[in-house]
Amino acid sequence: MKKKRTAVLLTFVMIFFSACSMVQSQPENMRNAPYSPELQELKFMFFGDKPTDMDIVLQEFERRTKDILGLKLIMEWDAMEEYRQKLKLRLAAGEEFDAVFDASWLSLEQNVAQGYYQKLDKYFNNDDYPGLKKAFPAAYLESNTINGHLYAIPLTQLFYDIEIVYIRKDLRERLGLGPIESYADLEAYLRAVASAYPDMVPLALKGDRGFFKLFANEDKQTHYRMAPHMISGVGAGFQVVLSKDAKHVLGAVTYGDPLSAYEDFPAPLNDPEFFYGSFDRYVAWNKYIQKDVLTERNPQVLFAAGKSAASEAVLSNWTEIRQKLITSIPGAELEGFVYSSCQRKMEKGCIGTDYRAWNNLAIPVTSKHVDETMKFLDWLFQSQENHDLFELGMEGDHWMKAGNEMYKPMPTAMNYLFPRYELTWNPTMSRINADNASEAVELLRYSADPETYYRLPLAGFHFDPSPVKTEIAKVQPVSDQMAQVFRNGLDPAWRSTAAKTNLKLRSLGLEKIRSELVKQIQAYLDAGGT
Amino acid sequence: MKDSVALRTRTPDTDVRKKGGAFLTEIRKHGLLYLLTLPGILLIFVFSYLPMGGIVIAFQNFNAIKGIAGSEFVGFKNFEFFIQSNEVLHVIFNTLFLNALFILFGTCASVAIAVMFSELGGKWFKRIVQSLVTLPNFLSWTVIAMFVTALLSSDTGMLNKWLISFGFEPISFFNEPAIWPIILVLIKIWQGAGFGAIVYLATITGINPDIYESASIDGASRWKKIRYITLPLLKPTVILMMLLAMGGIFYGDFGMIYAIVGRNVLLYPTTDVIDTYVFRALMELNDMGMAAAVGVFQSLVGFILVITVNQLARKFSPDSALF
Repeated sequence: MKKKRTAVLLTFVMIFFSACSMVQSQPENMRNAPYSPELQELKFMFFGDKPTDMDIVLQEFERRTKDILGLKLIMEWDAMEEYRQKLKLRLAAGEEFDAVFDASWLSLEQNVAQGYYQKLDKYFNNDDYPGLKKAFPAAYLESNTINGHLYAIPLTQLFYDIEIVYIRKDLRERLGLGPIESYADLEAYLRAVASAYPDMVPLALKGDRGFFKLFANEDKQTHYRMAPHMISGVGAGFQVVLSKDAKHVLGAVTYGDPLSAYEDFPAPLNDPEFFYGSFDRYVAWNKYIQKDVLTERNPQVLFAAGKSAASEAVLSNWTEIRQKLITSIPGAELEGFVYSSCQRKMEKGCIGTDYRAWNNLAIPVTSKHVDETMKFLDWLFQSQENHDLFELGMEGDHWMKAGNEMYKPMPTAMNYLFPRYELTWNPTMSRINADNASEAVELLRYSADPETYYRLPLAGFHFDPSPVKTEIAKVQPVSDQMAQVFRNGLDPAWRSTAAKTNLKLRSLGLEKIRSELVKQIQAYLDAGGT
Repeated sequence: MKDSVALRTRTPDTDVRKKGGAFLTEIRKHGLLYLLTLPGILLIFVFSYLPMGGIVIAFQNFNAIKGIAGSEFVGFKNFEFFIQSNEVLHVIFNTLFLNALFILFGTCASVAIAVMFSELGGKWFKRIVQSLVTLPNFLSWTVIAMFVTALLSSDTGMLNKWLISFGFEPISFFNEPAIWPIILVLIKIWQGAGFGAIVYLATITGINPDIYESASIDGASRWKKIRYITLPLLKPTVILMMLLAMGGIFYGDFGMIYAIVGRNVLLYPTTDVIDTYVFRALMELNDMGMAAAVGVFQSLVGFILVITVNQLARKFSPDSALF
């Protein structure tokens, strides 16, 4: 009996220990594995589909840089939703990665606040890294700092993706209408479609985007921030008004606030209609959009299938939308109506921006090869040739040069569709696709021109939600719910709804958020921020 | 007949705790057999019990870099947003109401399908139908959501096209919160009832055929055999499955509801459940502590419910109680 018990005990102990040693020994083995001994490996995490010819490009990279860099890039690709979760878990688990994609719309600010990312200030504007110095001017970097430090490399080609209502040129001509040059022309087109093709949705919108910036106030925002440039991450949409000299916060107002909240603002900001007038237009135009607009996730599908006559999207979608439209409907042709008037006229100083990139590459604190990773990035931005290799693939195979700033994709370009916004996008180095329609190329040039933009007030301000996170968590679902109905013009009585919801939000902590926002902005201004 | 039924379902389990040393004797006697359970026990311990330590996160201002040991303890602060908001009451009601409907109608449908299969003849026909009925369970909710849109949409939906072609007024389903509990229940049944029937079918297969035979000899019709033999013998399994389902009644089916309803705010009055609400509330904050707090709350209520219902089951139908 005793023997048996010892045997059982021994088996148990052995299982336990072998399990433990397995866990411990695995990474050790992997680290010592004899890959190519002279090449240092860098591990990158991206989302999206791995380009078919990625390995060819990586081989070419290794061939070109074997002697100067001696690096081997290992790239991991995941679908967006999976990436979102993996990134969070891997950072939390402290797994070793040398570069990961992150962005404000993903979790950049939160991850920086948690201390997951390296400070990268010293690598920029540094003569040891000439490529980075050239491609990232100081002003560009400054707008992309968080709490005064650079935690991620900003990736952007253009500071703004111009919004466009795409329409069917063939339909417009069949209906006997001239080119669309104003909201009135657009409405005439939508009305004509509605009566001539009752089965068609005149204008297809995306549910959570609604009318987006259609009818948005186009005044230059010099001492206030309002839609479409509200401060994000606050839980409710606040319009912030500063004094004329931009030294003091006069107040922050939101949907449904009583008139008294606006009293102290200079005209025309003392009238709520100045901020929210476009909601009336949305209500009036609601008859042109899908009945179930709120469930719509991809209006472009309706448009490309010929089920809708217009659709709201952005400039960077032009080529794709056109391609889908003309392949699915013979004889169809695409036309774009840039709905913001100063963008349509391509005026200088028209688009307000905080010069912040929408996409970033960050280096986790767990990386043991920060210098090597930055050396790679320096190499990437050092010459147009290096940059083109990763952005466009093999010259002659995937693409051809078309002048200094443009390229022509070859038929095999489909095999190398690198998601450029995850690594290579840069205002000074990215080429424009020469296959774009000529109007689109012109607009792309316009949005690549620094003169097009003006700096928004409070451009460097980031709201820190931690002091009021309980309130934000209470306010956000209610406020989002209301805003989405308004954005789609679904509530003709939006004024009274807003007033009612405002009272409810106040009971959930709206005032605490508002005073925290005002406090933080004032502190930012007092510290010399503009 | 009655005796044989009782013998089959009642297992003698009360005499194990007769003596204090009985457990040790038992281990000594069947040591190797118990050893076989070890991997399972280890697995459950490592993946179900150890992670419970993470409950601490719900009471912390959690920061993953500082870790569980280094993060600041904040007591019940993380629970505040969920408990203070009066919006939450109605979200909790939706969660309970929808889950109750799912459990009730899902079980009825599963039992009905199982009984039908057990009565079906024709080997091939039976197999094919059985596969077809279980198939939807393996479809992702995102795909199902696309079916639903294609079926119910006001502008392009099939159902509305039929309605119009037969001269009826179209129904804008996506603007009518009141009918959504019914739609969701129907979708849930279509998706899961076939798969759920497998357990019941197995129980029916396990019923002693002698009972049916003697009933036939006594002149019982098919319907009577279902009514007086199959259904009563299914009862313990039904209650057992319901008990297990009770543990999850505070969890909204996020995958389903987020895929189908998505961000259609007009349907929130009847379809917004705890999980979708919390998702929206914390989407921008990304706060692990607050999310964990809601998780703890849900599990705790689920746990209490299971205990209570089990207690009730022990009283009214001792055969089907879990413990």
